[in-house]
Amino acid sequence: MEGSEDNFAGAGAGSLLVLAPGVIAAICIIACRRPHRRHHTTSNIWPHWLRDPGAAADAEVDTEAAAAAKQAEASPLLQKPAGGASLEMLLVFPKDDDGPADAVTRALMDVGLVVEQTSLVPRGDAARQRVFGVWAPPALLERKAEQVQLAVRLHPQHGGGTVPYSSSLRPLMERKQAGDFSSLQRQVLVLALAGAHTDQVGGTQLGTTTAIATLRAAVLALRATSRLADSVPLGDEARSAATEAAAAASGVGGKTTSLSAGLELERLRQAGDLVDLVVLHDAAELAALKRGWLGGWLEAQPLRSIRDYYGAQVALYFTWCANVPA
Amino acid sequence: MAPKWRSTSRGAPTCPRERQHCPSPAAPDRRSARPRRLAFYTRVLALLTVASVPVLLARIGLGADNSLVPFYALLLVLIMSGWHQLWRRTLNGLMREWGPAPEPDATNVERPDFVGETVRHPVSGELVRDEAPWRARLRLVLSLQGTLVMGVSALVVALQLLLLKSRFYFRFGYFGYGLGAGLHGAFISLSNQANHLLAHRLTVWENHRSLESFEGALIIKTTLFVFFNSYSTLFYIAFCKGRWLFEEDACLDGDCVAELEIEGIAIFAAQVQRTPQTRAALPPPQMARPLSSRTLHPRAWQILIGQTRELLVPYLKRSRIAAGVRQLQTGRPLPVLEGALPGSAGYGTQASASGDAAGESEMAQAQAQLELTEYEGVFDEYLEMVVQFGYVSLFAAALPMASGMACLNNIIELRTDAWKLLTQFRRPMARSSTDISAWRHVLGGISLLAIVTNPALLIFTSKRLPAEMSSADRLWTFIAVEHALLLLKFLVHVLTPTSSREAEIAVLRRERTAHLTVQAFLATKEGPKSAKSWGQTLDLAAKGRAGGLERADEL
Repeated sequence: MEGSEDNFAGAGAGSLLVLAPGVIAAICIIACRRPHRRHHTTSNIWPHWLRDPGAAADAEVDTEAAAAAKQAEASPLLQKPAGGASLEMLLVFPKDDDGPADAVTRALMDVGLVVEQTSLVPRGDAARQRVFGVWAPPALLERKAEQVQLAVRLHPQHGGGTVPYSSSLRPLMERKQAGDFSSLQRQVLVLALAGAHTDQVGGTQLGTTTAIATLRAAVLALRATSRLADSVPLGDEARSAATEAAAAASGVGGKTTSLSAGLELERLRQAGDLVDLVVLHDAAELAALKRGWLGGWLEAQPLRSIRDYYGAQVALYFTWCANVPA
Repeated sequence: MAPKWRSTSRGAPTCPRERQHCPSPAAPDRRSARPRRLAFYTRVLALLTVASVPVLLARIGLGADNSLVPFYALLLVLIMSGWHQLWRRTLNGLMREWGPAPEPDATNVERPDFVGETVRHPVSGELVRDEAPWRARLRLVLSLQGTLVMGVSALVVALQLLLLKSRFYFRFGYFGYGLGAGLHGAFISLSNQANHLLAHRLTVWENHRSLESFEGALIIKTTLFVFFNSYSTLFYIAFCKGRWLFEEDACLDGDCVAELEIEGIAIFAAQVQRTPQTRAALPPPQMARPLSSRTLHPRAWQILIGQTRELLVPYLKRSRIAAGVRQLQTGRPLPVLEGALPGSAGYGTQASASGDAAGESEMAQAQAQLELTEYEGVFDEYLEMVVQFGYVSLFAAALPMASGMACLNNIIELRTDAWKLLTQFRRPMARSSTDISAWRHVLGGISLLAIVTNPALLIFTSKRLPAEMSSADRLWTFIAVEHALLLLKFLVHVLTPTSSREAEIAVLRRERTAHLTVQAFLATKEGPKSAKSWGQTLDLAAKGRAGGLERADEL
């Protein structure tokens, strides 16, 4: 009798020993369970004024603004100058009528980026996808660079130190021309323009078609200025003054916008609203880098150029298994 | 109107008053003027290679286990102790030279996978995603448990298989050995795949906010797995074969060092060849990484094949043959102009052409890039280097030629990786970083382990010490040597400065020059309007500076 009780107690203790960690583990796992993902992604991807892309695309069809937009599209000034600005980024969207393409492109254009549909063939099903190219007018890049205080280098004549960007300091920089950014800088700025807000809480006041029309006009004005500045050999100061005046008149980059579309492109891709996102090469810079880098097996690597084109993370790998000033 | 101070007769912009604070603008940095030919890690390897030459020469006359080996091992341990400090010194210098980066830092970039509640940031007031810290920590602990269980069970199974291999050999001869080896190879290959998958899953489950912490966690897990798989055979031969449980599986002629050498070379050579292309061919980039495998085929010539294939496969994939295959599959041709392929000679040369031609070539280039696969980052490249570092340092006393092989491999590897990055993948989004993240800790761990394994090899495995020495004596000798080496490492760590004072001063001077130049320039551009973006302080400073400047111009 006693023995059986002991056995019973032993079995109880044993099962407790087995079960207790299991229960604790179960509690831990339940406590740690990730919140439902789909719910969070859909509620967080979009800026608050663009929460439902389908609804946003349908809403507010203002005929006047639409006409202005159409006129802007037809304008030769919005065509890219040959050999000048080039595409920075490709976005591939699913070709649905109520898909996110309209909302996203509209958000990007609100901020002043130029989004154009291309005839490129996507990797996936070409019949069901659309490829858009994105580029930014130089004046817009200037505004954004000032806003995010982009780290830029001074000309070696001035010691080559790094300062936060300001258009008035152009004459001191390595790249003296207004609107002349390196490929990496353009990439960073365009992604920042498309990306989340950094300066304001709660997004922008944009999102209406009137605002789009205004911004379209502003883009036209800016492009006109920059073309003018390129063709007429003005002094640096006159050029920057002209750009500033044009920008101030049109209101782009003023206090009305935060210069950010508030889109999280990577999350859009994760959610499937964006099929593909390609950050494009700069052909000239890439060719130069290739010449310097693939010269020979024992040549020194152009570490500075690698860093200035691919960013520090990639450059550090090649530094580590690569050469370094001792 | 040009700024006043630029129109002085001296031509080049001068620093009017504080000439002593304006380092001659083109102050040539002696270090950057004389770029080094070899990589940091490759340079360390080259040093070791030179040191290993006498050892290799001596073995012709004296055998593999000659008296130069301990000196080589000592040198290696010293260099490995110092390399950490050397790297930090190098890195500090480089970071200073490069200056702050325009691209976003990997520590700040939020992963698109990250799930959290939207809250207001306590400092900036911005809306951010956040997760309760206790929850993140609990996940980390649980995930660590899983990793350890997986790792230890993999180790146990691997040891069982090694034992089985020797049993089979005694039972069935060479056929049995082949069977055992096949089983072992299959297990390593399978468990590698399973581990990669599991490590990735676990790390995703951990829900890291930043790219940096995600990579760090993945690095720790993956290296643990890879180490168990890569080094278990060598550890077995070095410290288990022929003793304890494994007495019947003795080394040939009782010479485990020679056997370790042969096996080491074979595995090392097989490890060098990688299969990034097969992974690149897998469609979703998120899944591509965990499926990577490092299968082991113990043949030395695979170094050559591995590298050739690394170069050839991606090239062939972009070639006419691939275009033909693609056309057969999809019914449409590879829509890429011949000259616009990133890999071909014409790439980038038409950029300056004008009119429609430029636009067309630009679109063709964009199309070519759209077709390429995404760059997976430098994770796999680092992993390969780290595993190689392990072979070179952990078993240096038995594998003196590993450093030479690694050195040669890395010289080739470097340009291969560069070529692939430039031509065979899409451009990655630029990320900034100030260090090689968790890889530094992994490498530090390996160099610490090397302090233990090398004396152990020389004292327990090698036949150099007299055979009549008791195992207790051996143990005490080992402990004494290992502690002495640890002390030496500590001294090296403490005594080597991690940054050179000259470099620090040069950078501080450069920054000061930049500051003064900007102030002076803004002061000459009349009105506070131009200076407004620099903030109040700079504006005030510029006003204070203006008087001095004008006086200088009068001179």
